[in-house]
Amino acid sequence: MKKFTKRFASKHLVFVPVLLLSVSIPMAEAAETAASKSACKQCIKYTGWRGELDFGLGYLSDDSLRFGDYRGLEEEGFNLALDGDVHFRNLDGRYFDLYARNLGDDNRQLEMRGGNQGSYQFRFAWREIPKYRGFGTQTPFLGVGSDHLTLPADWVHASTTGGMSALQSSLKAAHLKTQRETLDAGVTLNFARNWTYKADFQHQEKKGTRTLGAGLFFNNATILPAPVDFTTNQFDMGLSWAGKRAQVQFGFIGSYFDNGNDSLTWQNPFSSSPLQQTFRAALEPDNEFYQFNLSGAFAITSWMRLSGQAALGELSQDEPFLPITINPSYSDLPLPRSSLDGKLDTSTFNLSGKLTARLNNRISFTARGKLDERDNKTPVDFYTQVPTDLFPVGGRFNRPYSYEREQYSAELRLRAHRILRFSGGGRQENLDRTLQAVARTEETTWWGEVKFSPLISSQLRFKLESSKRDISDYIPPDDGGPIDHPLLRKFHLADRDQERVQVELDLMPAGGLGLNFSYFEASADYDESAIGLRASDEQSYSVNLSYAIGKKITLYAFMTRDEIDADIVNATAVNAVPWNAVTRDRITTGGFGLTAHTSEKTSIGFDFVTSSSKGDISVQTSLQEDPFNPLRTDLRNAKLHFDYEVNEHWAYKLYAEYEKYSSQDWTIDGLGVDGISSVLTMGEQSPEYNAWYLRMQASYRF
Amino acid sequence: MIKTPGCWNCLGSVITLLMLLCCFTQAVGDETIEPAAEYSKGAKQCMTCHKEGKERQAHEIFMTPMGISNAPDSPFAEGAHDCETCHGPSKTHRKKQKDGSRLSPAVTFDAKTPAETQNEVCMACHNDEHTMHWPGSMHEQEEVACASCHKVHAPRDPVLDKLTQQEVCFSCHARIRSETFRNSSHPLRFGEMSCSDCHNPHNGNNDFLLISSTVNDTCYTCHAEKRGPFLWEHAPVTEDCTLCHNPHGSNHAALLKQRPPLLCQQCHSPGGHPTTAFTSEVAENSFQQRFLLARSCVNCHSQVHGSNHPSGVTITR
Repeated sequence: MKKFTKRFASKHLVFVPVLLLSVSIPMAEAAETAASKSACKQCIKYTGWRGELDFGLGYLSDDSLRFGDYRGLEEEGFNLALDGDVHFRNLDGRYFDLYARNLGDDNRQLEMRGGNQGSYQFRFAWREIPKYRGFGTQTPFLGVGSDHLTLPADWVHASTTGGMSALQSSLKAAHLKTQRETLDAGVTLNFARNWTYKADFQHQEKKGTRTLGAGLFFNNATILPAPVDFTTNQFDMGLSWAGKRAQVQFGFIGSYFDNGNDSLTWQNPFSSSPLQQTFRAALEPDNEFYQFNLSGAFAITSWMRLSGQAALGELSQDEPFLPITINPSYSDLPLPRSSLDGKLDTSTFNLSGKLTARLNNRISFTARGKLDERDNKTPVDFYTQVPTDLFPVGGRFNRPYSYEREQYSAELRLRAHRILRFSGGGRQENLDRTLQAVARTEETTWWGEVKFSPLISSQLRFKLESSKRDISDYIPPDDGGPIDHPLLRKFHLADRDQERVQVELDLMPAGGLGLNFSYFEASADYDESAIGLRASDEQSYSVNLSYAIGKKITLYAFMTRDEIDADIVNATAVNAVPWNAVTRDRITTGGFGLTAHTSEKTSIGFDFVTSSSKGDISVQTSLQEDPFNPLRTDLRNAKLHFDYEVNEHWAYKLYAEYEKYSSQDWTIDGLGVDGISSVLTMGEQSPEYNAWYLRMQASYRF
Repeated sequence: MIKTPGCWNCLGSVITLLMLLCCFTQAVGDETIEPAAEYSKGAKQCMTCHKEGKERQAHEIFMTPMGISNAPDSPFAEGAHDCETCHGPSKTHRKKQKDGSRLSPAVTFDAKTPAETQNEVCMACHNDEHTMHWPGSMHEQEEVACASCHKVHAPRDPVLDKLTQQEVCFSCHARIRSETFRNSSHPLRFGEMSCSDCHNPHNGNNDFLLISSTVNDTCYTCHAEKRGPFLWEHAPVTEDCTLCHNPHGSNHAALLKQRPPLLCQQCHSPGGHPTTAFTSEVAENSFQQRFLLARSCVNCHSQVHGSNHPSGVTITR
């Protein structure tokens, strides 16, 4: 059975008295303050304390990491089921709210706030999110979770995984899991008329293990269990003034990321040669980001409004470099600098403005402009390369990328008739980049929309959008690296014609009944790209139904079909005949459910969802067309809620969930850890499970 | 080659034209007509019919911050008109018609009242730093009423609850709901994330109503380790995370839009193994399996978001 962690208790309980203090004085006064509006008895009924505390047990039928993903329920057996909410109000406007969910599980959430309405607020929140990052994973490495992975003493090195005779006896289950814990604390003060000060602090930790691919030679690799020990502290402060016609806010954001591990070192399972025994990779470096921002809006007249945002910030990273290689033969290779730079400076600048004018009751016009800049000032130096810790292969200059993005748009909306509305507009996006194959891309978009509402209970919406992206000359940069095929056009740097269509029909044929049909398509053609992404298309069809039968029963159902296609062309050499790949993803999702208050004392809810996907990949060469086995996933999920109110103070809650999941993925299924002769994997498998979860709680209400 | 459009000039011209149009239309005058209506005697009168247990009960408003009568900003404060602060002067609503029906209150928060009228009521008080960019925003332009998303009478507004918020959003954005059930997705369906962790529905200035000014800045609020700047940057990563990832859900691991190696082969064609046509026959070939199976390109090039290793130019270290 899961227990409260000391960490959880120590971090939370300290905040409870602080928040309670914010309302403690008026607590005693609550019963006496019903005054001015006392003639309305209903208006004062809910002052004082009220809430609901739910406690009980839950039971999971089977071990399943995938079921436990985000839920925090992965082991068969019982768990403590603790939820609740507590509220306080008095007539002076003092209040306290507490919301708790899943306190007995790894995905617990706690949120509290208290204060005096219109004067101040204190808030605090704690949230945990468990995430599993591989199913059925195993590894022969020792020291999982640390930054140094070693092999067992009796390890038998071999040039292929098949020759590693001690592999099977050395394997241990390695659950790849990260736990994200987030603490939020903040205060808002309305300290003078129209003025508000807000300060929030967030401390986020993400700890655990994940996979990391590690190339050993130029033809071997190992999948490693890499440590995760991330901490991010963020401050967000703002001072705002809000008048009737104008509002303005000045703010500051500071974010500081710290990685508890700067590198990962591991022993080579393929070779015992003294110069090839140990390798090392860098992990994500610490970084800092701060930003000052200004945001404001001004109503020039009752029908014209101007608003904008500006932000100026800096991002820096100065983690000390690792040596060029861990290989002792090249330990004397010099670095051009000891860290990326104490002077390293990256800045961003964003400015956006918007003019909204409602010319009369029928026409409105909006114009926007935005400038977004990433100015990378990282110093450029020459770095000798020992790419797999084996031997130097020359060197390269680093390439700090910058860009500047301009966006302009304007739109006009016309209410031609009570039942007919037109709108349309244009948008221009220009993007200037440095050090890339294309210096400038320009994309122009035009769109139009018609809304037809013959009845108050129906609407047909049709929207069409067309965009065209042009690029400046495509000149692959000479960065000393491999030279791409001259006909390659990277898809985000390529000429593109794109069309989008959206059709929606909303109907309310009877009281309480709502129907929605929608169709969406986005298709893109990269006609100038002989090599690269040639075309993509995404279509989606949806039907939604909701039906409220009186005030006590609500029904819903939905079905969505998504079709995502892409055509890719590449060639093994400049003069080679290109090959073609086609991908087709088909996803169908549907569900239905109901909520019913069946009597004064009972309510019931039921939800069912099914989602199936199929991914087809076919690679066509000059010799053959070769489809892979389909990628498949199949999810069935059903949930049942049942609440029974025994009396004014006590109730019982039953919750049951069943989930069935299966998947097929030819890239991992059946491989085991040694299925690829040149890659020692962790033997990840496609998850498949049937699991049900039952929870019973008693609920005390006060 | 492309031409420089001089868009600032165009924008300036448009704004000038707009000003002229506005001057013209202002002369036409405002068509708004103030209703000549009377207020009733306040909440105690409303609550005779809308108290707890009645079919149209509305008592839960007093469980919310709005219902605190001594708070100066409450609709129930001294000098305010209680329920009619929002619902407008509705004395006529009290009297039954000859056929037994009643006239609606002056403002109802449903399809009977235009969204613009409803929102004017809300914005009369909620005109602050949270809503300053609401006018002209996508939702406002689409005539979404505040009450379409917010249930102000509910003790806890569902759209402000992380567990229930997405259902409110999915009632219009149905396609996104299905994406959250895909093989790889952010944990919206588990209530561990909510739409508002990334989107600000009241904001009008950021693309896709994001909480930050760029896509990447929004992603970095939770994924700060990918912020860099790295010694060896991967150019598209610095520009837009959504070039490779679909943030709402994907059929492929890690929210990727395509499965490697094809995802990578869209942009890399230097000859050699990055450009090999990896067919299902290749999957059986022991020499080339390492390029296709398991994590494919990422078996070796694992630092796809950037590397800070001095020898990391090929993002393997």
